[in-house]
Amino acid sequence: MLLTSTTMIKTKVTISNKLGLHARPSSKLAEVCSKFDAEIWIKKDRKKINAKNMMDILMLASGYKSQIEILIDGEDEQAAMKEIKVLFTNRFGEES
Amino acid sequence: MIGILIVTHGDIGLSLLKSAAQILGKSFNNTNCISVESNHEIHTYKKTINSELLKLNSGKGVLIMSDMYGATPTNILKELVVANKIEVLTGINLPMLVQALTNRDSELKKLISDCLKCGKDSVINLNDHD
Repeated sequence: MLLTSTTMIKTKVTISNKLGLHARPSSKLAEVCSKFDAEIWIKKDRKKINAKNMMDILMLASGYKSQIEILIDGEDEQAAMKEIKVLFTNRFGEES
Repeated sequence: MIGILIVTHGDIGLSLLKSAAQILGKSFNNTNCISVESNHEIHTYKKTINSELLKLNSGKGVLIMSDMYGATPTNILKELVVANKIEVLTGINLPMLVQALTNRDSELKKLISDCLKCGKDSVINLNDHD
């Protein structure tokens, strides 16, 4: 019997780097998300986009202190969430 | 991997590619630019483009992007489209190019429609935007 994940994990994140989710962080985020098999989305306001697509992330125009929600569904969802959180915690390596 | 060929006036294509590389933090394989200058013969460009298409096609096809519809770079490609059934997107912009460079393992038809949508969606009047 195949065991598949039936629950989706999600978390809310406040953008803490001053320049927001601009081009380079969007690129890094999409690159990290693409490493995982799980489906990953970002919700902001009424929009929900595929987090593996850099341009979709960029078009959310998420500025400093704006809030987004990350939703992940798939077998490697925990590992994906852990790695994604590190990116945001480290402000994408842009600020100390 | 889908090949990418950019055919533009002057160095527009090179500049866009350079900026995309800076944003994405890497350089790109199977990608090239052709700068169309007004003092060159059009037939030489056709040869160059055909030769690039052969080099860039690794089996998944080549996405060609040009700048202005109705202008010489696009007109050269238009003749090649008729002869070779190649597919070309005009009105290249940086979002369209980044979309192409970051989704090259997709199918060519899907990449073309995604790039077209991305290119159009990213033209925004900030005053009318949330």
